[in-house]
Amino acid sequence: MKLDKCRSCGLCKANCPIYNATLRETIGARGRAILIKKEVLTDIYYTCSLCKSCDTECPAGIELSKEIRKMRERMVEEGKETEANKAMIDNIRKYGNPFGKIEKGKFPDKLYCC
Amino acid sequence: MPSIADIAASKDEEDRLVYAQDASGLEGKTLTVVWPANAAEVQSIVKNALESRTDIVPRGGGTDLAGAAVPDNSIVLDLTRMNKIIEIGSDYAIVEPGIVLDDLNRELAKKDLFLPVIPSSHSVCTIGGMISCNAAGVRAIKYGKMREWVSELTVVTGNGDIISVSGKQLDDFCGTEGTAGIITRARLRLAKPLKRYTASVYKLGTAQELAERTREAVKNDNVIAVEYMDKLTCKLSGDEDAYKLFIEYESDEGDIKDPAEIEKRMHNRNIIGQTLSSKGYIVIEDPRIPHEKIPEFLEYLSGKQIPSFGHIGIGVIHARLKTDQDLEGFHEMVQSLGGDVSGEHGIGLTKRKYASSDMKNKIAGLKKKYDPENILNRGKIIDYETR
Repeated sequence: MKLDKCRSCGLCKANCPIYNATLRETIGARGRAILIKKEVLTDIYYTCSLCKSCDTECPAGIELSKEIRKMRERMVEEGKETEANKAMIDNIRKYGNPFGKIEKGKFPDKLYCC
Repeated sequence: MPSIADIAASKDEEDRLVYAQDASGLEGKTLTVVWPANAAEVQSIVKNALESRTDIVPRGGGTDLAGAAVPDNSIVLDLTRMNKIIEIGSDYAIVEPGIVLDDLNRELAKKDLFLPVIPSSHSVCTIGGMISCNAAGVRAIKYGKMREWVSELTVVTGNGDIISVSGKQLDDFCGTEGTAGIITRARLRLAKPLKRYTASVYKLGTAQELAERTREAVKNDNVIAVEYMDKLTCKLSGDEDAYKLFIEYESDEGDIKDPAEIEKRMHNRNIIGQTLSSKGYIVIEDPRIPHEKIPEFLEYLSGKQIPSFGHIGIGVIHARLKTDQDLEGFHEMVQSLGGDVSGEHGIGLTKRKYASSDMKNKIAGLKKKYDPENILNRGKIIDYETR
């Protein structure tokens, strides 16, 4: 179901792990939904863990996680993806992992990629 | 007093867009979003806004359905980071305003206590917001509204003073939608959880039958909730063509004995509003209608193809209109039946035009007393001069 059915009731953020960790509406489930409806291209879509809690909570049956993925795709198509995302994709293509070159028996310098 | 520069704030475009809305469907304009950590920071924000005569819109969970949290060239003051439980006593709790109702009740359950005012947004609404709009809920017939569960408040007024209020003075801040002060702490009365409850669902053919069954139910001391859905709401929800009455009992009288089944039905009841919204019924009304006039009102709604549901036990009718339906006629009908414009959602922006003169006079008086510069939630409930 598309986001035109979303009335911003806010129930989607009840178990949103990012919202609950930050208590910043903008990078929680409802904030992302509002930004998608306004077609704002922003790094904020990359802060979603795609856990689908918002999909489960939505009383209108909207699959917000799918809409967030679509916005990420659009950002890539329009060359507006994050630098971290570009580096991650490059690393996967080159080294088969998101972290980059890893010497055998050693750990990557950073255990995060975006 | 904390420096304004040290308080968490954002002017990012994304934040300003997101905080320009609540759950009413209205959209305003945010200047800055601030996230105070304590009452001293709230006071600092208010004093700073007084100097620049900038409007402040206090906000909790952002679930208001009447636009009370929609800014108008305002600072949006997000209280959700002030979410501590300060103390839980034998029959009370002292909390900050940003705590979410379900989070509070989860902690209270460990001490065999609960706050029994449960609106359908219980998973995301905050205590401060519930007090500000004097929230009710499906069990209001037993537990009443939020005002009855508040015994003391700490408030930052529009003058920038931090005051404690109790007794009759609580009426200045409960249900006045943040127009007189910003709640920074609340002492709440608590109840013991229900030990047993059952429920029954009745299928009824006419509004008259529905009203008669409701009248019988409210006379029964064991009844704790009386909810209904009209025929159109049932149809739009994929249910059969009938009025449905849901009665919950604090006894074994009901047919449904399994608490999980009752909770499931209550959940389905709680999401009806969103179901109707998703079908285009986005104008949200919640008048309170005198019991004897309910059949006439339901017949009117049926004739106009306006779906409704709600807390019929206390006369609160949740009606949903499409934008091209006759809202003026709706409110004329409410007034002609002696009803109140809002039973529980508040006046905010959407119902300002229809608010009673008593309510408007009350807010005007509170403004003189607590917020003479009119910087707190300007334009909510009463009109204002555009700055």
